[in-house]
Amino acid sequence: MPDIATDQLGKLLLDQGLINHRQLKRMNDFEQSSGLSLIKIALNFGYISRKRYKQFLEGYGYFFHNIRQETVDQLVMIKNDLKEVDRNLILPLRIEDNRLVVAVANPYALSDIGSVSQNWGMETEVIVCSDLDMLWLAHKLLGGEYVKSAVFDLLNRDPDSSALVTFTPNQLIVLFSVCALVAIALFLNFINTTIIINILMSTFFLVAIVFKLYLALTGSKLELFQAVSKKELKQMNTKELPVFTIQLPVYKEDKLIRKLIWNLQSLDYPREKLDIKLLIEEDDDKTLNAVRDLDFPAIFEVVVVPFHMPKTKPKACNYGLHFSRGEYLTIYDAEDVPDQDQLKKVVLLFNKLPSNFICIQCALNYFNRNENFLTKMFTLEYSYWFDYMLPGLGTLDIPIPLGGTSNHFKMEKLIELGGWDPFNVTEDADLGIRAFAKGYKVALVNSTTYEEANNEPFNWIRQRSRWIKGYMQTYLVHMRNPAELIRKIGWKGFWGFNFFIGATPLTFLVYPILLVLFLCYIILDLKNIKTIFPDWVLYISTFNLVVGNILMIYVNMIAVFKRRFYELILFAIVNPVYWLMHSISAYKGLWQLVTKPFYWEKTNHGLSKVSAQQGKKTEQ
Amino acid sequence: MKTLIQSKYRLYPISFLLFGYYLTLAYLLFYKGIYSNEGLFFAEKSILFRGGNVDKITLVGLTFPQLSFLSTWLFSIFDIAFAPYITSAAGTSVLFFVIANSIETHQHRHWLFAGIIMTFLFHPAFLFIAVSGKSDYMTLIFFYLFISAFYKYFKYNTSYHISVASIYFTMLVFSNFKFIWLALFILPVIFIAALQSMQIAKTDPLERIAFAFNSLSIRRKLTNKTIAVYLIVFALPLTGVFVFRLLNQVYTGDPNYFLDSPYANYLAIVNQTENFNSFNPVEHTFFFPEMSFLTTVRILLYAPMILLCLSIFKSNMRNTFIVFAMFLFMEFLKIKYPDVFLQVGFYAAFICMCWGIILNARHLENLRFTGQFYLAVTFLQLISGYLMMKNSNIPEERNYVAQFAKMVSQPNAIVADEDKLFAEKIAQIPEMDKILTDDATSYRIIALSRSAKQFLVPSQKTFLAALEVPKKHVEYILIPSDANPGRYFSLLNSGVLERLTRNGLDLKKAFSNKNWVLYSLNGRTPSDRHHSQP
Repeated sequence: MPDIATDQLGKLLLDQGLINHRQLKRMNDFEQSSGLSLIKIALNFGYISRKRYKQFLEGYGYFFHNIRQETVDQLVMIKNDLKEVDRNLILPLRIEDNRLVVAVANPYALSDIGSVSQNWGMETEVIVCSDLDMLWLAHKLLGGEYVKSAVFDLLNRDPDSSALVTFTPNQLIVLFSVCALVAIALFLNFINTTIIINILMSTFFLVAIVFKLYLALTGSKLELFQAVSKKELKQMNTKELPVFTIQLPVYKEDKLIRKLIWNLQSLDYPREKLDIKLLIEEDDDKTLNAVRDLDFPAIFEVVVVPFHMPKTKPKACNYGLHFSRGEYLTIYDAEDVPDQDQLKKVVLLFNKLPSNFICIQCALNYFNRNENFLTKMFTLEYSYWFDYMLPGLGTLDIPIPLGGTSNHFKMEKLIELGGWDPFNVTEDADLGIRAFAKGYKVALVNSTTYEEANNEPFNWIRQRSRWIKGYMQTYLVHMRNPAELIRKIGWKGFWGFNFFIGATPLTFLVYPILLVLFLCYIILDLKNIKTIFPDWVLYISTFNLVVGNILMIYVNMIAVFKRRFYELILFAIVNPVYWLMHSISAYKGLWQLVTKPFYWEKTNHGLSKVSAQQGKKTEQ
Repeated sequence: MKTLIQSKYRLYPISFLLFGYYLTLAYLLFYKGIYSNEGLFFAEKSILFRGGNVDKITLVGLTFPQLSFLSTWLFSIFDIAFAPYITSAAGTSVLFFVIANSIETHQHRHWLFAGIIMTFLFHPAFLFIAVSGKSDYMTLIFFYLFISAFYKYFKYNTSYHISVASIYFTMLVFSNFKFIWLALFILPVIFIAALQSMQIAKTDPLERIAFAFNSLSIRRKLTNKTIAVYLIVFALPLTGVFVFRLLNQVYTGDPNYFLDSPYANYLAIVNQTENFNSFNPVEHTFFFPEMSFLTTVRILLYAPMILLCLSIFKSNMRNTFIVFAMFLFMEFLKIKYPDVFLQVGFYAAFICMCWGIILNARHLENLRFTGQFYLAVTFLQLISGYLMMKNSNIPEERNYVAQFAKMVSQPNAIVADEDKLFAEKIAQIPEMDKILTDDATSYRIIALSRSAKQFLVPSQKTFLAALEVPKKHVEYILIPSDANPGRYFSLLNSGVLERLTRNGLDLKKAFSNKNWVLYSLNGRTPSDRHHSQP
């Protein structure tokens, strides 16, 4: 039963018309079932906006203190339990004049305040503050243990899977030995060595692309397959749905907060069963203030991630895990627009699949695909990647590198795996391989999350360089002991991993070299090149490059069919140009892999002038 | 029968037995001296690759049809001259496997299978394709796969089927270039398919077209979809041909080298000689003439089953249009190349198409004929096939049927190819004695002699020098005789002979047959040389 003081807040809110009876009843029920305080529920589950709440309290004569500037007694602070503070929004700050100064978000929570007083054995002096400031302070001062766990847990448990060490000594020995051998071979027989390198590079390029085509064709067989049907969705018992955690790691995404709430509100899942965590970095006041200034109710809880290097998304997500309540967990980016029934489909599919399926990946696509050349190319790329390649990998039982968002996990298994690697900048791809190596499987579901395609070239290169660097990191991590990897994932998985994860950055690195050779030979008709490479070498090399490009264009063309983006098909022809941008990113990624491997190249979102609603409407 | 075809794994031994059957027939015919031009052409290229001092990249990269040549080349490890015949036997067995395997899940698979095995065992066209060393088996494999994939696309509307259809079409073009023209006739079919897939509340096709063209959004969707399917189907084959032509241009200076050069494509000469209308003396009572606008009738005589199959698609316009597209394609070939006879592979394609149609019929209840009737028509096809092949316009096909019939009835009456004996004589010449020849026409002799070491052919660097001053480079010159239909296409002909004689070269006829004359430059015959050796 709610205590009388809590009831008082409810009554006051009711009197002021801020909530209605039905809402109050739902809040009270949820309070009982979840153990969260009423104010936490009111402010984080869509009942009342922070702005209105502040006005409401100020109307009753309360003054909001900025507790981030209040004096804090460390001895008092360490006695607090962060999770309890997070639940009750009551934070003892210091002892002053033999009285405990307690920051509260709800001054009417007399029972809880009384308990604190009783626990400390002294009277309390209550100061009212914003729940966001309280959380910021609490996480900053009390989150040290959790953030350390977020950073070092995987490293301590399974150091071989951590990307903290970029190159192991053995890898360096192999790398430098190969370089030395090539140098010696060049010195001894320059022409034959360059011929071998040329043939190897171009053949590798072709084989890697043929493999992609094979994957795409294998995946396209599943085009009509519906992992979860509409009928199954209709028959679903919504009362027994589990709690679903949604993590939203953001950094300086203040412009997207409104859109985010809009998108989350459209999810078809009971609000009380949603555990949405907005993970904000400690130094990200912009986003925190954007949440504070919302003039409509938020439907997420804020978790402030204390500062700790590396400042990466996986670290934030690992940190958020400590405060998550769900049976299942997923991650969305701030600009994501998931299909409304996505979470229900995921739950249904998890129930249908064997227990070793621990993750379900949804397709990603873009709502602003027709904005410019880049967004069109990006849409083609994502379409073949998520609609064809990943189903192809799944069919062939090859490890699936998870996409950046909309991967839904069984929480328990995710924790068992050690969460995400905070030192890996494509932590999702890495986690997919790690799960596969432990005998777990990833499934794909017929549901899409629409994102914002990068529409600005430099921003695109930043994002892509991080992805490619991440693939390099992932490859290096899992290839530390190839024999062990084969033992874990089998030969098929091993070759699939090499050609999908390893070959992707390498093809982008090799591409401009082959292209320059081709241009020198065909267009510029440089005679000198023929003195190094005889005709047959150039024949094979040209053939591989040209056929490779044609096949890649073809894979892009296939991509339009499933989603009926027929108008994009001609853009597939300019894929070689798009690949040059990949090459630039690949070289940037390679450079960063050596100089700053854990650096997270931030992608700016919210640049698109197309809204998700407009995008979806166009699609319809 | 039921148990035989229940599992595809049981098809392997059947296919293997079929391969053995074909191989035995091919072996008997080959060693009795019955050859096809294409088989010997491929054999000669493999021989040149292995032993000749030639530009191997051009040889391997540009010999056409490319896929067939490459597969022949793989089999050349067993017997270099017989390799094309092993390949065609194996390839036809693969064709059988592909077709029989595709009907595995069909409701009427038992009688379908009976018809298929009957055809592959006894149909003269399929036997000819299997034992002649020709590459038609590959054309048929990819044609069948292409047609099946296309029908499946119509049935399921998935990108997988349309993509693999495109890949098979590319392979088909690289197996038989004339099929590139089929693209023209598939264009309207794709448009109709796109139109049918539009959600328009009209049933009459014309009304649907009118509605689609008058509604902006549907018109846009229709255009986008049609163009997308055009691109996905034709992008690969067209760019493949473009790139291949580019490679031809780069390496030979002629983008059409693979089609027009007799060194790359045996049809370059055969289509102007043996398969050419005006070249062929009309001395046979043709079963039915092959001419424009009557080709369709000829096809129906070859494959009467197609009429039954059309009834399956009675109410399915786009599927019916595919069949019509094939008929139009054949008529087009007859218009575009009016004097070149269509080889049996084109007709056999229609028999394969019948199975594709039956397999992909949307509603099985549309199969309005019984198994017995189907088998009866299949039997009828065997007879009509025999009559057509027996009276074929193409000498090679006629010869095979005639010799095959002799092999069954009176084996001793088989007439071996004249070039066989000639090549055997040449094979006796020591390898150090070089023979100047132009393999544009003499590929049969080189193939049958099984060695390239003694031949000096145009693709070798010293050929031109040898043509100017033969005595310095060669001991013999092999020249087509005046009766040889390919004499006008050879760099070495009577004109060259005259010039050489005028320049004081002492040429002595070593030996000859109807088609070839071997001249000795040093006044000795091969037998003299042979005897003078220790």
